[in-house]
Amino acid sequence: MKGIKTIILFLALFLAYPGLSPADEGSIYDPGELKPIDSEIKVEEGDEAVDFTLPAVGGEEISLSQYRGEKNVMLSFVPAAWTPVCSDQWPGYNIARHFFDDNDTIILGITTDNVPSQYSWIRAMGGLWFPVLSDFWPHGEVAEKYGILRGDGTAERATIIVDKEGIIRFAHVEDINRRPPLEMLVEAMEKLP
Amino acid sequence: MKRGVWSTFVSLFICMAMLGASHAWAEEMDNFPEENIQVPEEAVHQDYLGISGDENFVIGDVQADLVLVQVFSMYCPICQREAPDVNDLYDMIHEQGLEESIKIFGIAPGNSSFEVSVYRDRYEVEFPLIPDPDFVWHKHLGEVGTPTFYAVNPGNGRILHSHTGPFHDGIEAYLEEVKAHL
Repeated sequence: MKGIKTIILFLALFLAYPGLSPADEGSIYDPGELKPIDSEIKVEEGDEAVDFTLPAVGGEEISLSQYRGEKNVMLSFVPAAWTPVCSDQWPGYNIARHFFDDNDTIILGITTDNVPSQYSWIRAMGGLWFPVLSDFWPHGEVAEKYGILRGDGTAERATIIVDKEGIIRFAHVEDINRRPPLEMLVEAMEKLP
Repeated sequence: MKRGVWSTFVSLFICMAMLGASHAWAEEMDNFPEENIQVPEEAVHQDYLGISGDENFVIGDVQADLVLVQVFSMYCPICQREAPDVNDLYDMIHEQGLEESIKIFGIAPGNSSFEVSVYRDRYEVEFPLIPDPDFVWHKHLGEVGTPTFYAVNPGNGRILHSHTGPFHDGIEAYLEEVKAHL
């Protein structure tokens, strides 16, 4: 009976499998369609952004406040490494870098995965030009402070843009099953003071 | 315990077999869907495909002996990496005097017009690229992975050749393969 349940579980996972890039086959876990938003954001435009320090995949620790007076910061939270939509979001920013440079904006990618998992995932994606930070421990602490930690311990697919004075100028939680449109992010950056 | 291990193996085997079958199906789909495709905005692209300025066209409207349809995404690392190769393919078709016989256009599942324009500008793509922001065409094509190329006879809609994933053997070899269907 247990064996049949296992077979049914595997088949269900298979049926939830969407079309993925061939490079992803065998390494991407697809959780299927998820509840679009599973948290209540605690910040809004005009708030001072809560500072944090997190370990980055490069080995250093990065604080939001280190960019104060220097760069606008786009916090790009994605739910989890090795999942379909997330694996198909940040690589797009590699060819859209000029929009970020033109608007004096750095991206900080954040997930609640641990660094080793993020490291392997980034390599599989072919590398990224921006730092990726781990909000793994205390688990999801930064995501929780921003009100974007989901009930299962992953982060929402959320974008928060902080200006050089540390003020939140854009806060958006996208349906976890979709990518935030690039044009929306570019428009938000172009409105920065 | 043994039973659990065996059921896991059986499950994995079934899933792998089905996965293989699904991709074979995607690659061996007999006919290209006779569904509406958004007419490219630029007149030069409409002229290239030989279609009018109406809202939509179907594959059979393209004036060519063979149509190469590229399913891609600006977010797909392989599509980014191979964009110069695909440009080379377009150039080779012209250099070999086949520009009237073989036409290329791209469809971008989940990409908005803006996102497609980012890809076009970055790689200076000359052939038409058509956004599919709501994954409508992606569903028509069986949610195929990116990148995928179909070589289609527009006269009868038959898919004569399909290729999913990187061009491991090079773009010249791919062109020779599709030319065999002319």
